Amino acid sequence: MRNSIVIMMSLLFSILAPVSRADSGDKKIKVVASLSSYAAIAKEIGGDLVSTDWIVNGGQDPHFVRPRPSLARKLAEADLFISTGLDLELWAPSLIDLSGNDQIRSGQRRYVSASQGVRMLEVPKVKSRSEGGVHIYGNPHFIIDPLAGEVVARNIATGLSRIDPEHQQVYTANLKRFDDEIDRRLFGDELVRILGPKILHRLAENSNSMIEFLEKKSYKGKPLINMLGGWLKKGLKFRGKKVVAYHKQWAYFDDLFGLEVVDHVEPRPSIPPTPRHIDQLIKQMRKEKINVILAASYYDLAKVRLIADQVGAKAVIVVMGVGGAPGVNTYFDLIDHMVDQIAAASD
Amino acid sequence: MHQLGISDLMLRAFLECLILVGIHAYLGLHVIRRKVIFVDLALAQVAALGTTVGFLFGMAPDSTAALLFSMLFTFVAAALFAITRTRRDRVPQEAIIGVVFAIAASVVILVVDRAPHGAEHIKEVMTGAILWVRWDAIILAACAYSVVGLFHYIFRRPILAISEDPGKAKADGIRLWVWDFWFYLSFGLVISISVRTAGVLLVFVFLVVPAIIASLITSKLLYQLLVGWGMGFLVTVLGLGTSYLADMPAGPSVVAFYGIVLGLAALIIHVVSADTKLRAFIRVIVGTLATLGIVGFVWFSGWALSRTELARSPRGHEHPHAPALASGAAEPKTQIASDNLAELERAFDKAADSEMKLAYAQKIAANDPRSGARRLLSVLKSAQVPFVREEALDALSKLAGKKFAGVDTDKDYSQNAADLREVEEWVGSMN
Repeated sequence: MRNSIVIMMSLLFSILAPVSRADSGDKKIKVVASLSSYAAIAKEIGGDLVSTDWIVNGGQDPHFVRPRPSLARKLAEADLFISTGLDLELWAPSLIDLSGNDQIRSGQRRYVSASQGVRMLEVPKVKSRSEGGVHIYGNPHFIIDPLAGEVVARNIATGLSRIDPEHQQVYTANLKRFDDEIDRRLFGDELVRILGPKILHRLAENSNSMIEFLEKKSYKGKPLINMLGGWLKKGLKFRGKKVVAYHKQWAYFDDLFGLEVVDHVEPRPSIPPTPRHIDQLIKQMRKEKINVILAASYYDLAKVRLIADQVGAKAVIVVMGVGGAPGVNTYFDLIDHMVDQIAAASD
Repeated sequence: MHQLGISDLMLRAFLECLILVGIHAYLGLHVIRRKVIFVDLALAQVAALGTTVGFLFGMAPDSTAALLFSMLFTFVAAALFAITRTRRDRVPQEAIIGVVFAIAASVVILVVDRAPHGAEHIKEVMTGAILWVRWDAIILAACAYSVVGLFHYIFRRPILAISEDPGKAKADGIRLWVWDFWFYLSFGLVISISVRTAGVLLVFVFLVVPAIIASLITSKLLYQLLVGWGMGFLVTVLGLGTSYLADMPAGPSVVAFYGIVLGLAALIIHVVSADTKLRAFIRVIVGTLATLGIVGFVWFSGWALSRTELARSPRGHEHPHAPALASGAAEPKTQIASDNLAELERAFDKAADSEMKLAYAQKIAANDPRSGARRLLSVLKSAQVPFVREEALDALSKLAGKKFAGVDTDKDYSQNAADLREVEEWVGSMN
């Protein structure tokens, strides 16, 4: 109850006098990101030199943000703005207009496009809105791929070095540390030592043939697959498993972990589920014995659970960004969360 | 259970719609008589506000606590409407209703903006999710509406009197505000339950459209009620059927069909009730043609405008950083096309990383063991990655036909120089 009062009070205050969430320490570089996950990575790269803030929390839908005065204020004070740089945050240009901060516009000095250099998946051949909320530059939900996370980190390090060249060495060192930790958590210490990040990254671009490669090749008489650790090792449990997802936002995760999304609850991206589609979906799930439905926590979970109940499947509700659930405080936590949730449902 | 057809999917929505039609067609007649068309929109919005505020307090939108909480909100609004139904006409009640609606709708947006899955929730409040209605919700609605129906049947005399002619009712000694309060209370109870599944829009048409059509046809309450129910049944069947066959959202389909049926009914009634039927019929035809003409013009303008520069967003949607597809991918090592030794050796020299060098060296060894072995050795010495060293050593072992047991590929050249001498000697001995 007291909690609710706090919420109501803070609601009142944020309407009357919007205050920035960021702690405004001395001369810290104010980094504002569209998504909390980008902000989390920026914190890893910037360390104590930066203060971070974000617009869309891990538990919210990045497609829709209602512009609020406090958001424009955040952007007005930003030294660096990070967004996906594709057509995910269509609300961002209006917010930047409102903030009057011209330097954080796309293409300007104080702007970082997180997607630059990310290997895009699902780039549509026909660009038409009749197919639902299609993203014309490809699927922008790449942050759930830890290797894309490394690319984002590199873009952020470049951006920070551009506006703060004095500390370029710090950013570069932090980037290296971040990449190293991602690699270790993804492939396991042993495999990183033996194969090195470069070969592993190239292999991971086709993760199924990577697994084949690891099974076929050996090092000192031991098959490499035995040395696989980390997230990919945990993910072996659900590699090749057929699942149904709510929104078309799993491409990068599937690509890396070999999860097979057979169909979506939404008939077309961002189009609400229709009766006949649900009908077919339920039939298909029964026929193919699909027992997992994946959904981001910001969708209508009642619908997901209803379908899951009908076919006796498990509804796996995951947060899609840092801060979306208790305990998901860093980018590493986020990937941990996803892999653990899906692995737990795959028993 | 295993045979999944239209009934499994649509049965619950269909039953829920029928239950809604039952009570709403009746209450709609009151609403029309009282000329407070938007009272249900306002009450529905207030109920939605209750659910939303409850959500902030931590009640799940489909929980019992949220229902009770939204009822509380509705009752407050009902009390407000009961006491503001003044006979002084300075401020029409419709104005107060409108203000309540606007405020409730705005506050829902303000509140929801602070909550996760906000946008989805607002959409749901408007269009509902009738397709997803659960059995317990249907049973709850049926019970609650029966109670309200019974209440209205028992007290039909005063309730009807104050709706039909409040002035006369007052003269007859009926306490207006008491019965008004009871009316709005029962009304609010119905609305707060129906909004949860059907959404604001669907509840509004369920309430108003059958009542309008019935009022056009007859003025007797019983007949109006029968017409309203029949109409509601027909539209439910058409709307849900179309939703299923054409794969469209269920709630909005039913709303759209109400619109079509209302239009058709109005035209038919116009012809039937006119003095000179032929002239009325001609007017209808002309009107229809004019409507089609307007629709055609709008459609054409849309088609034409969308092809001009004007249709582009003035802000533009630039992407200076639109990334290249599949950038940064290292060439897979299997793509070494040439078998020409000189070309392979050149490629080996140019290759930037040890893995590529290894691939070329293996290929060269297949053609010229001596040249290949020399290059494999250089890979073994220079590679930073243990696995590449291991592969190079393996290839060398195969060429030599013996194991170089002393070499530990975990170590790089600086730590391994002594052990590598054995390999170097063997490569040197080749001719």
